[in-house]
Amino acid sequence: MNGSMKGYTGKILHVSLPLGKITIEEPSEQFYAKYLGGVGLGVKLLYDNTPPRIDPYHPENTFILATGPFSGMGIPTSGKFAAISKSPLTSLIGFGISSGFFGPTLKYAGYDAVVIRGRSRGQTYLFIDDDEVRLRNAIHLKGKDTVEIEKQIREEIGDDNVRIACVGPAAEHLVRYACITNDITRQVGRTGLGAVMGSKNLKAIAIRGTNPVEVEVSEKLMQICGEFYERCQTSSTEKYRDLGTPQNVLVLNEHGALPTKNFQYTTFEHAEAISGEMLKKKFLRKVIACNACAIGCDHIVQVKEGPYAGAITGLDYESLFALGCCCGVGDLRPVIKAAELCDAFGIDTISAGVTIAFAMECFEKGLITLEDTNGIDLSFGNGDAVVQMVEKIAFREGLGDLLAEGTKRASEKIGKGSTHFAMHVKGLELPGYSIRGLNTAALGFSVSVRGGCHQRNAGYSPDLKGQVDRFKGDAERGKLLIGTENLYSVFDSIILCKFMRGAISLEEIAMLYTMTTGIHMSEFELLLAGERITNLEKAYNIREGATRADDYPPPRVFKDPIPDGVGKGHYIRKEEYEAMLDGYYATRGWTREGIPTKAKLIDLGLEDLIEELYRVEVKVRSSHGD
Amino acid sequence: MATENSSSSSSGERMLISCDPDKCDGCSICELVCSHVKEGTFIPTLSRIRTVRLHHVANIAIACRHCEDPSCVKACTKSEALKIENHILVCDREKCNLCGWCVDACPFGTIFLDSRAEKLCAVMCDLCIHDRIDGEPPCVKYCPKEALSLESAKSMAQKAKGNIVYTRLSELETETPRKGVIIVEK
Repeated sequence: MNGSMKGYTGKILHVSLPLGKITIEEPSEQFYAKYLGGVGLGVKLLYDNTPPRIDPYHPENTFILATGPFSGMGIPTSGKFAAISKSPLTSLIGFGISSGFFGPTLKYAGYDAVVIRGRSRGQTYLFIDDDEVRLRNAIHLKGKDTVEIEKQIREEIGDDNVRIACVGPAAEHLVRYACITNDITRQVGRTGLGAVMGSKNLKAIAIRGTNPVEVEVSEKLMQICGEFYERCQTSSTEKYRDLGTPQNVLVLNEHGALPTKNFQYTTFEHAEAISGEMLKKKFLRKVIACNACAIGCDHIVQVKEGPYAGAITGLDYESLFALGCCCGVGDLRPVIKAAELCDAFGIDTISAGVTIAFAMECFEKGLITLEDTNGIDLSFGNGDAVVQMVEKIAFREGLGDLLAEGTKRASEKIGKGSTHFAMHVKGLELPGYSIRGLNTAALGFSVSVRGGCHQRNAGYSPDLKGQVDRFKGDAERGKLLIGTENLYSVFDSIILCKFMRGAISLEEIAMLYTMTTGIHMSEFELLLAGERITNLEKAYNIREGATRADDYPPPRVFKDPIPDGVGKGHYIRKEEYEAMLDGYYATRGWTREGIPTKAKLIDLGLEDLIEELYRVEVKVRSSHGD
Repeated sequence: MATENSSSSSSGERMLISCDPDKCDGCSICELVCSHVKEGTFIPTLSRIRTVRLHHVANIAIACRHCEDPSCVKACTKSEALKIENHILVCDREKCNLCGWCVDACPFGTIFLDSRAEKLCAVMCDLCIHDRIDGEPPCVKYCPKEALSLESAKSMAQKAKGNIVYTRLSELETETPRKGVIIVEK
């Protein structure tokens, strides 16, 4: 027992399937300070515990859950956890963050992280009951939806204090973007980590935790947290509390950045009808919060009438854009239903929506016919078709079998030029910003280590705030990204919600870290850890075969001028993009191929990666098909 | 947040921590605050107030209601171990034998047994009489959505009456035309 650790539990649980053999690792204080927790800790554990270049579905691909040092102790928005593994969508680093109550409970059970390897013979679930770790039969949970699974496991164990993360039927069918659902309304959505659990026949992880979390300086902590709770009620978080992120719909529509009809257009004629304002007015039931969150942003919406009456889900902007305007759907009712089904079956709403939108464009162009769709009219705007396709994907029925592979693989299979409009980076579907008219965002989303993602850096922010000319790109943009990229790595590893970013300073995070863990941490050291973690993620990707070619947006972004809105006529100039990418690599201290230099690795204390990184033969991955 | 201060709760009136389920968003900050105040650490399972999320939209926090004629006291097998003193339910650590009948008897599930070696007794909310912050119980003080309040039976009745008026008023507003709009019929 690592009795002296504060903030952290000091223990990492290793579970080996199929027998459930466990070992406990007790890393040093220096190790924790170096990788912080959450994503940082998880990526390090993945790097060290997974053989290079294995298939994501190989039993030896480790699946990791990790909490942050702040988890479980009342610091606002700290009730989160990260899941980390090799992604079945990108075959590169895969990770995602979810909140709810599962994360803190893992800590109360006595672990900072769980590393799972191997594969169960039949459907099982893992029950972590403080010190006791057991594997239980889950054959009766096969085919059940996530809400039902959580209910059944809790009844079986007979304790309301048990928290559950589980995967639905989509993971059993190895849908490449299957997600993990915890506490019913929260998901580790992106990069298909649910499918990794599916490949291990691991249906769920249930946790009961009853050990207190100790902190170094306890007296003043509650008072400081109280001040943050009050700050959470001020203007810096108002957007999240009021309309929530769906406020973006009208804002982005006005800015000509709302991806519509598979990113063909940047404005949507029915934007009003699917706006955050409309959602609040017609569908909002309640705004709920995750553990220890004083903001409260989870907008629970419900359909009141029509064929989808009763459908209920927590809806944020990303789900709304993907299943709404990206598919040309201008009616919130089928959008809510489709999101509810995505959550129930366990698939990522963004990848699902963008993949269906891709199929719709194929249908529009005649590359997919009514015969392929079994009679479903996949025209843009057909909300009922989106709802139907979600189910078909989750169970890999008909065309759903192909779409369950994601846009990259589906487009390679369909061919006929469809890779041109397969809207992904590295295999991960793009989020809800039309990057053709947002140069900084185009760079940010493309260099993102986990693929098409808006959460790695705030590339869209300088573009939309007018800090830079969004229609032009230059080498300086790289510098602009790196600050937020390192900062976001800190947020994802300490694990605070990015919605807190306006309500807490880096200095305050460092102060809280020192106060809770007793390990001295300065602002500078925190940012350095953020940079170290970003470099480690990049090093992992290179080890797995990533090259410069993986850091580009889809071909459409370079070739099709925007047909509508304020960005009309614009697209990303290839030569400007190359300059931005060169600038980004150079500022990062990486080679022109995007490989961290030896000097950079030494600076960051990552010298142990050098040997492996510099003997990797360059294996060409297919990036955008052509 | 609540306006009552500590003096009113010891002035001979029954008080309790009340939760407005319309405002409660289930964040469970109250649990973390409570365990921190009472145990010096963070652990929801030892919190005297517990949050319950029955459904996405049904959230509430519950603590001992210090009932007038409590079934837990009646169920207590050790004479005088569990009793109401100055309108607050208390458990005498010396007398309690951890039989758990009080836990069974409480219709709100707000009592738990603390069986850790040094503290053998039934545990429930004590309204933080000795741990108030600016006169408020800490859970009330820190509730970010002002869902929790320290209420007397009387103030709760007043609040309920007030709420029904407001609800009815807002219904009336939606049913009848707005002020200043003249609708001429026929």
